[in-house]
Amino acid sequence: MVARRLMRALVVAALSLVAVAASPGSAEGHPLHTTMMDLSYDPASRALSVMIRVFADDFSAAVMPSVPRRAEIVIPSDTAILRYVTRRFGVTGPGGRVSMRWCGLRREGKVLFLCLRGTVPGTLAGASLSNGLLTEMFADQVNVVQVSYDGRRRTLLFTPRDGAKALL
Amino acid sequence: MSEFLAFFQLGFGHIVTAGALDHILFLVALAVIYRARDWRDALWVISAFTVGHSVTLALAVTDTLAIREPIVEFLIPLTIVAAAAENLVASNRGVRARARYLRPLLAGAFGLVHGAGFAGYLKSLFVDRIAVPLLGFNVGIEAGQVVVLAAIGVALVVVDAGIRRAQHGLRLRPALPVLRVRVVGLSLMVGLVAAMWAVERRPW
Repeated sequence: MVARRLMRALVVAALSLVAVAASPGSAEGHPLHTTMMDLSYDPASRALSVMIRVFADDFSAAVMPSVPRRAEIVIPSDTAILRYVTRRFGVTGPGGRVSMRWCGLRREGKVLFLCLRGTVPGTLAGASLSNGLLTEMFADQVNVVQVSYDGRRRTLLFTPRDGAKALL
Repeated sequence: MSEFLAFFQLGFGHIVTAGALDHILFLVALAVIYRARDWRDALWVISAFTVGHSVTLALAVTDTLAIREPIVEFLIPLTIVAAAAENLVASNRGVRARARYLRPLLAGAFGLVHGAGFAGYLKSLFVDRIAVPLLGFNVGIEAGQVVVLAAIGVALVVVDAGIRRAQHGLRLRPALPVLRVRVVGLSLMVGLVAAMWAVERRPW
């Protein structure tokens, strides 16, 4: 009986040790690594409008990887943001890659709203879109793009494994 | 791809990933008391959990409910500890009685807390057109949970085989009921890990 109790206590202790040793730190909880992008195209003016919603902390860390994370988030400069975004996101049509212009940023709580505009050279028929925002940081990053054109809507998903996808 | 399907994938991927460990451990704590033949009860409990988190998620995203994130992040591991503790306290009671009545209520109530955790992230991103993304995300989470539950079921079969083999090797006579050893052992492990997380995430 004593041996049995001792055995039970040893098993409990061993399980506890395994649990503690195998436990990954989870102070961050269960974050959602995603960005949302609204992309609208007006065929008449050939204007492309892009609004990107990103979590300020992750995005700032991606744009300024050498700057350590702090409790108070440091928002990168417009130039740095545009350089990062245009490196990892782009629309390429038959007439070439659409050049994007910066049209500002606003912050609402922990989310940044980034605005970009461009003019499509030629047509968007056969155009492709790539979106690798933050995929270099998180293996589970998912970027959602909602495309509006001609009264229609289409949704595209980008994970770190995805390359360019057909836009229309 | 439709908007619904996109957010379905987002919800599914949010659960079926190693990053969802707190969520998965909660599912383990809920599922560990079931035998293979109780799979309907387990599915019912998981669905009650989904209903719970869908309610808070909808309330939070529509600004009906204000949530303090540090509190929620602290409460989530506590729900895991509570589910594990309930397994230990009630391990002598009949599984079926618990499965039928108490578990779905417990899972639904704890789902309210977990939904508040999701809402912290989603609320910021769903600016307009909330209904379809929210529905797609929730259905994706439910589908992900069913997949995780199936994986847990397979893992529990392996654990049971390991317990039987260990009891045989140790020549324990009479052998303890395998289900009880499994429930106590896994609940202790899950509860301990979650308790550590609760300490790490304490808001004070």
